[in-house]
Amino acid sequence: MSHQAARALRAPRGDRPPELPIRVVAADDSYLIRESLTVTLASEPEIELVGMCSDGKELEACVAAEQPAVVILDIRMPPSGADEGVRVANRLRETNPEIGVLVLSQYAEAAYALALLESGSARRAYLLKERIRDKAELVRAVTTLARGGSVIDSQIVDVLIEARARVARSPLAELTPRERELLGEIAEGKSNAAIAESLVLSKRAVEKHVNAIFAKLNLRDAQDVSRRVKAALVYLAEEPD
Amino acid sequence: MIVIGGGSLACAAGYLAAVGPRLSARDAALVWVTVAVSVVALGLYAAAGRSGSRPGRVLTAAVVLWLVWLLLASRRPGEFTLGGLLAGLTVPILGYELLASTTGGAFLRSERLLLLASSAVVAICWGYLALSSRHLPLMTAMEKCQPACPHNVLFVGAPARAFVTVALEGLRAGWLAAAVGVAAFIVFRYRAAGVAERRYIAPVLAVASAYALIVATCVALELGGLNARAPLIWCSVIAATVVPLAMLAGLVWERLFMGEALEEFVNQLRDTEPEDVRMLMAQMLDDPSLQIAYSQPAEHGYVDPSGTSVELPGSDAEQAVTAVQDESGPQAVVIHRAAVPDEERFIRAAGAAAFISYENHRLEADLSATVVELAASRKRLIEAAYAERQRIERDLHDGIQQRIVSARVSLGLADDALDTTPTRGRRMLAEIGCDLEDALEEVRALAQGVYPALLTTYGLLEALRSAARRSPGPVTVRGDIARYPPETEAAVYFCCLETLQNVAKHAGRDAATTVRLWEDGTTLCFQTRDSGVGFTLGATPTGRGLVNMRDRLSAVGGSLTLSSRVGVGTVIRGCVPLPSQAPGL
Repeated sequence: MSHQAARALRAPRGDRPPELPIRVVAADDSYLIRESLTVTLASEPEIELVGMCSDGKELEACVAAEQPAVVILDIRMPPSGADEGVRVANRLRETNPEIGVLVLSQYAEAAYALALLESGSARRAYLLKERIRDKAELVRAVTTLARGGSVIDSQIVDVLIEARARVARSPLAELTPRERELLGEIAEGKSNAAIAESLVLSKRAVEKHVNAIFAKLNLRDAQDVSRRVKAALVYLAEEPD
Repeated sequence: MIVIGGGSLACAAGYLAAVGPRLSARDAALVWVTVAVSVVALGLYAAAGRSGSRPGRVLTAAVVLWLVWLLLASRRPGEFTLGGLLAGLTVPILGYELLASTTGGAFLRSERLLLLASSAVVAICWGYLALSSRHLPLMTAMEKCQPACPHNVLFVGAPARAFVTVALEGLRAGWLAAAVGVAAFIVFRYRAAGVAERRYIAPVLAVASAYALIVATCVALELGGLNARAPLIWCSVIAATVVPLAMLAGLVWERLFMGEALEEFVNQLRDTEPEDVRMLMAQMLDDPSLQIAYSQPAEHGYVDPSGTSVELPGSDAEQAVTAVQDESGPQAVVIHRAAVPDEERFIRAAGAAAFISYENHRLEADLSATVVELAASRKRLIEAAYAERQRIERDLHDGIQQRIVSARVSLGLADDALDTTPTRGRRMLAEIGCDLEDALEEVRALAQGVYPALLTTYGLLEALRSAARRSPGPVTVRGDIARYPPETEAAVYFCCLETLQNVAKHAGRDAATTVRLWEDGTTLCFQTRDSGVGFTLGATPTGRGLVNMRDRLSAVGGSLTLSSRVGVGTVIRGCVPLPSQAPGL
């Protein structure tokens, strides 16, 4: 299983670069994680940590007061202790659609990521908690969110692709190994430019590949980075006929 | 027959009213009391509803005998002569009444032959004597007309002396044969009857025996030169009235016996094992060949309490079958000596009691088997839980703790190294990072195995799909189900997980699995079907996994079925009852 970090993507066409520094509010019921987040983000000039909360209720008040650009939160928080983070994210989609939400989770489960993207994939990120050890990765995810993009943890995408490819008569069998690799990058939320960079391809070649993949899988929205994350993820997670 | 009997009785009453004034007050009273008592006795008898009996025959015979008595009291020659003629037939008629009263039903061919033959002999001899006598000189003491009785209207002429002697001998032989023969037949009937039926026959048998003795005595007296014909006819008329009373007595005795016997039988049933019920019943019914068998709906047959299959005798066999039924059909059968319907009712009652006792024993046995199985299942579940705890403890100590300890030690070393050889120190720090990542991965896998958080959050389908993605082979999960109580979801989840693990272990590398889940409002079911190598049920030990699954399901009231064929694959299906939802919730 790959531990390759998710990478930020360049802003989709038409999106402006975010105002700097990016105002961030974080919430986690664990003191250690809160400390790690504070230490990691404090030293980052592009990011201003304007609030730190220990549960969903505090977070609500803090969001209302601070109007941050991005919220980082733990998936499992009081009071429900189940998928509170996902619920908060979905609520924010209603009340503050301009706020990006990064859900940190201890579960490498696609179901949670899909639940997070249910109300739309723009400005949503699902990362495994251990990713916060890598400051650069965390900052990239926050920046991507602030620009309107999405990020899905590579480990989740890997599991989905592997499982989907095992099924007999899987359409994934029609993809070349390169295309399959590309599909993973798409599901992780990368833009064509970011994919071109990571796979050492020309942007034109990436575009061609992406169109070919989406045609083979009979999917739409090949060029809308934010929407195609969800399309790819849903496709990978659904039960084959 | 009842109509004929009743009609005869009405005629007798009418005649009695006509000739009544000529009777003495004592005789008239006697006749009326006799008629009333007999009618009441027979009425009671009929009301008691002893099935298959024909009290009408008894009544008819009794009325004919009373007629004889009344006719002989007449002073008109015609009536007197008719009475005299019929008087000779009193013995066969009483024999008919006696036999009719024991069974009331069909006579055996031999019985009918005896009655017809004796009647014919008596009729011929008596007829000859009647035609050849100026007066009917046969019942000297009976009639009040002595010494001036009405003359015999049938008299044709004095007979030859030798013929009279022969006729008298024939008459006596016919009487004796009828009385003794009938008594003997009733003895046979008694011996062939069931225990209850015997109580009914016994009083009639006593009357028949006494009557046979009287007839024999009279015949002996006649042979000694005395004229005993009058007392004989007297006795016959009295016996005709006694027979219905004997029937009534027998009926009462029979019913009392049935009640007591059943009560005792039921009392003894309480302390009797099902295997010994047959013997108890055979003793009570005095029928050693008796068998009792219980319905086995699944096999459409009957078994005895030890489970051995029992064949029912054919319709032409000597043994009869009495079934204990309820709405759903026969529950038990008693195979017994052929018996009259009343006896069968008695047997059916005893059979019903035996069946209830058998059912009780069976339910008790089922219950104790369930309790034993439940205890075993609970023990296995607890053992499995402890084994699981031990596994988690081992994983924590041997895996994760080792990694953390090693990281802690390396951290100290790296700290030292950073001062002296920073390159080496940084490499060591990177290694520590990898160690911790591995530890993290192990913790995640462990936590997932202990209880998948997905199951709590999103339910069975999502949890199983996640497990399916982690399976080495292709697994499809299908279903349209809702959320259920945690214990139900957990039981189904871990059962499916177990089958997925079994497929991974045994079914072969390319085996594809389909997990289907469905619910019909009362039960939640799952079925896993793999396309693996399969196995032959019974030939391959199925191991602990299957026992675990059964235990998990039975703990929430569910059950499991398994089918497998070599080369086709294995299908496992489990169902769990859902708690009924209270309205309004």
